[in-house]
Amino acid sequence: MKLLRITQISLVVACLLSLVAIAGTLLSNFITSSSYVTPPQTTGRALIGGPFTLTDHSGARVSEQTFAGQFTLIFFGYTYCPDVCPTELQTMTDALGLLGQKAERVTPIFVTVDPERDTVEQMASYVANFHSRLVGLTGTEQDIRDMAKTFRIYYAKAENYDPGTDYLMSHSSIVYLMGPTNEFLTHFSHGTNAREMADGIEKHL
Amino acid sequence: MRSFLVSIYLIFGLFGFASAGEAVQVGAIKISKPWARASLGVNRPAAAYFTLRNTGNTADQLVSVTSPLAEKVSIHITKQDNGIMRMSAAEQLEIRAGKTVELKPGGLHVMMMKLNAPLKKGGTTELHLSFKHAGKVIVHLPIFGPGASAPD
Repeated sequence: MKLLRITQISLVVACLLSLVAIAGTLLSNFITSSSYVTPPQTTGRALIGGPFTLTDHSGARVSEQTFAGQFTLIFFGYTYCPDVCPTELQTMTDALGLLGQKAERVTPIFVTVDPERDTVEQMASYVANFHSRLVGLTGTEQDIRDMAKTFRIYYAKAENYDPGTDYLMSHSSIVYLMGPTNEFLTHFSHGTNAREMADGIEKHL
Repeated sequence: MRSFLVSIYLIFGLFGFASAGEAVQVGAIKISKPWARASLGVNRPAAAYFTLRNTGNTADQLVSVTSPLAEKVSIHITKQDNGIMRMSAAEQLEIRAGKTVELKPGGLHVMMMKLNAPLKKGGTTELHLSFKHAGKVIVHLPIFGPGASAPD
């Protein structure tokens, strides 16, 4: 009789634990699948970044392994953007300029969130206007979506555009500094100037 | 004769260079610090910026902006919403009496689309502004690099 009760209690506990586990899984799935993601915090170990496979502005297939051993300064934007993206890419260029020789350990990367218009050729002519080592990355809609997700980048076509040609994109404007094993080190939010960015990078070199 | 012609070209050249970027006034509206960013060829838009000051006693509106180089020109505003940049049209910009409206990177900007010629760094371009009350004015803008920031 006593044994039966212990078995019953054990079963109830096991059921409760399973429920907690299922709820936890559902909750974590809900959080990761949510399209709205707040900008990351620098405190603690942030889970930003991950493997990716895209095409660079010379047409070569690249992955996170291509940049192994280097620091990367990553910005997501699009070439049809005349206001925010050039400002941010120029800030990255200027920040690396301020670091002098130390900047050789850092590869600046520009990932498009508009692969529909940003072809390899388009990326090539665009990156030429900024840092001499700036790498432009594009890919399929799915590849871009996957990479943006691991970097917690939100992007979408703006609702109010002329159908056909002139759509604009809304997108997160964050610059990430990743370490030699593609690990997240820090981020720079929009409005960070070149001096602040250079100082922020230098701390990690 | 030849040196005379060269002098004439130089004088006009210098005059043209000096006028781009200078403030102009139409009615009660003063337009200062005009400048544009170089475009990346013709199939990507260019951005231009300036500061509008209404020195009068009544509100005015910037009702249209046109460019001889672009088929379509509109005033856009970039708004930051929790780290996400959203750009939208801001037609008919109001400049209230005694107030200043600044167009600058990351905020209000003139977006020049469907260019028929590129805006080249080091060159100049013009914008034709039309205000509801102050009337029309042509603004000459120096062209800086594609990622240039506002001039001092």
